[in-house]
Amino acid sequence: MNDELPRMDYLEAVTRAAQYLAGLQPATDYWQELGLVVSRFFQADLVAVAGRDDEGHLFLRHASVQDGAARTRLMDALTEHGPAVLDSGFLATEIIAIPEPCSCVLLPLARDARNDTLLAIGHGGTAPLPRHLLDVYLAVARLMESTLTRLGYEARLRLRAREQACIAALGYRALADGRMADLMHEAVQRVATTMKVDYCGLFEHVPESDSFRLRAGIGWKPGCVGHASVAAHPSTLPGHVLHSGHSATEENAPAERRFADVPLLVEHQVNSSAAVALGGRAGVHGVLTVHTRAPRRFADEEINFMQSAANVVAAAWERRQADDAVRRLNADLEARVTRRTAALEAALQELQEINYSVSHDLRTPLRAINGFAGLLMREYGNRLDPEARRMLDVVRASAENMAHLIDDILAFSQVGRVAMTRRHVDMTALAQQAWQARQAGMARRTIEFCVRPLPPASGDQVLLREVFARLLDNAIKFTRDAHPAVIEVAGRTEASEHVYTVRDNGIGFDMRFAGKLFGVFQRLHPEQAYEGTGIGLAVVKRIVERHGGRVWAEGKPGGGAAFHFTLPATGTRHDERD
Amino acid sequence: MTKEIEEVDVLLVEDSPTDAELTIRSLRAHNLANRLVWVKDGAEALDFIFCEGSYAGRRPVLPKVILLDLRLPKVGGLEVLQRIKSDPRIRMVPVVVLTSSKEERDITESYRLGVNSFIPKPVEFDTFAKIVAEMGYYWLFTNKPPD
Repeated sequence: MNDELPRMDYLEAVTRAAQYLAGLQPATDYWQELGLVVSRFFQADLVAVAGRDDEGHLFLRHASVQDGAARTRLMDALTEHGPAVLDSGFLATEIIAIPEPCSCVLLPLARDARNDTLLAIGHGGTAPLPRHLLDVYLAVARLMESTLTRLGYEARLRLRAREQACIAALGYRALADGRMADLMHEAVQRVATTMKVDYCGLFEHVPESDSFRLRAGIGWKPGCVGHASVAAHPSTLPGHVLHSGHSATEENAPAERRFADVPLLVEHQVNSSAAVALGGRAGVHGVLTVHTRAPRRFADEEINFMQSAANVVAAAWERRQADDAVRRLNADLEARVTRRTAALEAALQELQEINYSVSHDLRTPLRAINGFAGLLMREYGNRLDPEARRMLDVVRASAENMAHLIDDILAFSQVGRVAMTRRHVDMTALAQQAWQARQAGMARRTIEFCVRPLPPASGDQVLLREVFARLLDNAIKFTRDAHPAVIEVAGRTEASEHVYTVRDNGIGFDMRFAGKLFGVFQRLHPEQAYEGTGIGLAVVKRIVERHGGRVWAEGKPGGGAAFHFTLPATGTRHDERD
Repeated sequence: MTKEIEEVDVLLVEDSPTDAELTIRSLRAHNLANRLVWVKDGAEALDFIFCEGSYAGRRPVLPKVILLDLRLPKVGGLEVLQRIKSDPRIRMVPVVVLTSSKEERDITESYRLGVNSFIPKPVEFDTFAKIVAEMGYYWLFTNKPPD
């Protein structure tokens, strides 16, 4: 009968088949569609499509016959003749009785350069199929091959796009500062949907018990997520991934037996699994797994996708842990600062108590010594010889001297403790004020005094006035024997600091002892010759250093002395009027 | 103590016997210590002033001036001052803080509580004697209290 079909009709049938195939979409059941094309456009009586699995067994993807016995006979015939066709790549013609005889052509279809599909087309009867019809079917087979290849590519392209969208969404979520649990849940949900698997799980490794805990999951029985624990032994699939850091798959666990059973997976009737490591610089700290009940092979691309998803989660995880570590460190630091501050405050408090006590209690016995020595002198003085009276004077003077020492210790301590108020200070005016305040006490002295214009400073006015006061006291004291005495205050600005100098033409000092000048209670000259406790320059040093400056001195015995101090030039304005 | 004393010019609150003696001698040298009561701690000072405790039977005559040390056993000088100045009647009595300290916080706190004078005791005896005598003379003779 087929011989009767005019050639023009074949051409039309091929054309229509080609158009039909071009319109096929990946989502449709295209094995059935392929069968329909042949039976509809070529009026074939029998159409069957068989696939061949990895082990070489043929299985029916589509058949136009529905009857069970007929399908069995068809399958037997295909199993008998099909492998030779697929292996050789050449078509074959056979008479297949199902039970009516049918003259069939068996054609190999190749996908990805592999003949894995057998197409059988039959027309009723035993007459051999004409040659030109075989040519037409060969052409149709080639069309189907290219359609299958196209559909395969399209399906993979769509899958890749879905995977990419999934990774993009996860990445976005990971960058947002959400809860880690939310990100993990979203990851397993998206991976499960994208890969169309029954279960997806995120297992965190718990080093203490060397086990996994199911932190997030999809598809598992109620109560598993957050609680289920799985041994992390390397003989299991997740354990292997954890220890090796590499991904692993299992297509059909009961058949393969590559990994030891995991009770949780057995309980969920899992046959196929794929797992990738969750980790980064800090090592692997978990695994991301997918599982199906039906046997399934996972393609490399799918594993890559899982790894990408796992990397996003791992990166967020690590970052979160780093954040936590930073937070802990900060809290720790804060606590330490608080502790130190408290200790410092306690020490300061103690110091103030000591100061207070010194201020009150140390003077009372001194007053008694001085007072009773004074009374003794007043009431019994006329009965004492001159030497006894001299001794009493020494007692009184010593008590007085000690009172001065106490005053100076307190003043020195005060300089370190008092709160500083920084403001713009006119240093020229300050030096002049300090000088004027000293004039009352030296009516009998003739001193040539001059203040050159000084750069203004930023600092505490009261404390800085004290600096000039102490330096001027010093200069006045040690120019006692100079005639005329000359004291000069000068200043200049150098780079980032102002340098102030108080210079005199007094007795000077030996530069070998310059380092001792600014010490507490250090004296270079005998007390009998020059009064004072030796605290003055220590106070100067302390004040200047509190302002961020330095002090030093120059001099030579009999050649006068110059005392310098610096103050930072930053933050000062040069208009002295202000 | 001296319960039989009825009229009191000076109430000296001082725990140090040497300081007390120096003060009393300095006042006595100018006849300013004839009617002086010396108490040795803050609690006794309050008992005397408010006629309580061992001074319960005392005739409630107020001293013309109270010389108050700050570092005192039992009840501190600042608390004594605060109690005196919180009582509407007793607050009229002038209080002179006579203390070793020149601590700024003592001075500020004393004035905040209403002290009438704050005098740091010098160590040097001649100065001390002069200051105490001047102070005593001022509060007992120069100053005019309300009747």
